Amino acid sequence: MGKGCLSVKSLSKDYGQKKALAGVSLEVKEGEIMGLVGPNGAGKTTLIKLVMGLIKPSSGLVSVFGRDEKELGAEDRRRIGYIADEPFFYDFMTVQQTIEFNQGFYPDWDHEKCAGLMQRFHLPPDEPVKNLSRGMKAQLALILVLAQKPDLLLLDEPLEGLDPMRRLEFLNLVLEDFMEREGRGVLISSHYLEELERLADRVAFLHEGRLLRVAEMEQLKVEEKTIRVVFQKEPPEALLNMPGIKAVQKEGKTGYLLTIEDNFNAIYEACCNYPHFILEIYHRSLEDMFMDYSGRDQ
Amino acid sequence: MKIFVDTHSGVPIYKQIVRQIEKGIMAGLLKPGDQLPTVREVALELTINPNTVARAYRELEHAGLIESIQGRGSFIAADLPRPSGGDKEMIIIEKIEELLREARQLNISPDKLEKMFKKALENEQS
Repeated sequence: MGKGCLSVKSLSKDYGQKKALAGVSLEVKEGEIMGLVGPNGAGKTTLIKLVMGLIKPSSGLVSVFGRDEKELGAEDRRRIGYIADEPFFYDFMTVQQTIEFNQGFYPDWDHEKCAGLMQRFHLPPDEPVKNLSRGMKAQLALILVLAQKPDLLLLDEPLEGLDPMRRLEFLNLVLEDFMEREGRGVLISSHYLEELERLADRVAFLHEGRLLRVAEMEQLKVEEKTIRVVFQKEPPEALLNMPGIKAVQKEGKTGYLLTIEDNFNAIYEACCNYPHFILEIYHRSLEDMFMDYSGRDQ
Repeated sequence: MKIFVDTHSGVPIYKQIVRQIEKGIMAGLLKPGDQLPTVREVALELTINPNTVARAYRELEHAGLIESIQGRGSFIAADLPRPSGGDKEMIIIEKIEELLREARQLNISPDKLEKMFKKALENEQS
């Protein structure tokens, strides 16, 4: 993976007293898929809109393809593909008209891909957009953005309204496009955490406008665990204070639930070596981590 | 050989792929010279990040189990590394340690364990 596709530094957006985004710094490298996770109102949409230049930051910097977002020319802007959380269409236009309207903005429009996807999704070309289901609108939005051949793809909750099979199909098309050329980047926010677990290289957790954590997906899988251990006798305090233990909950007289976020192997070994009745490992999914981070009071 | 991944597993996806291919080789499902699907094909088949697949293939290559030929693809290595004497012992030692841990957790005494093990060995030999 190379340099930055996207870089935001200390990015903040205030609406009066409310901090929609507070000092967020994040990077999406070339050849990387970055997942954005957080409860409603965490600032995911605000962040993406700031990157797109649809709203202006209160402070901080957005760089796309190594250049300040404010100074991007039309050609560079065309390299950014965006699907909003509620994709906007002119309802009175038909599907075909919408495509023709969009393709006018992109000299490099991929007509073949567009036609192929239209066929694949069975979208009725002469149907007014206002008659399309939510899922079909999502498919249309995808066609428009992929035919554009973007180098940076910004997807804000793109999977809403799609059934499980169509979600997988959507992601497959994003992957296919991602692999077509070296150096593409994707920033995708989604509540469908299982899908993110498949796709994302790294995940960023947002909560109340703040970036709580960024981690590699594979690392999260290895380190994020819960250990249930019932010791035979009270264990040394040093064990319960080992680095990487995020939370300790007592169970019964000598039992503990340890929430681990780092250093898992060493902690597990330590528990193994101390006499115990039971020692179990529970894997924490992205959903468990989401619950954990969303429940925090910051 | 079809590859399956479990996103709910605590095992990283790339590791699941590595282990499956290792087992496939051990079981003879994958033979020296067999061609593996491309990174792209696996990524699309499983709907997973291609970097994950690439990482799995790199690890397998590093272990000498597969060979990647520029422009042609990835193949099961012609001469597979045979587990050395030391390696074989390591595998068994790990299994023994796992067994000891389980017995301890289930409160089975070392004496009882030894008796059980001897009985199992006898059954195996007859």
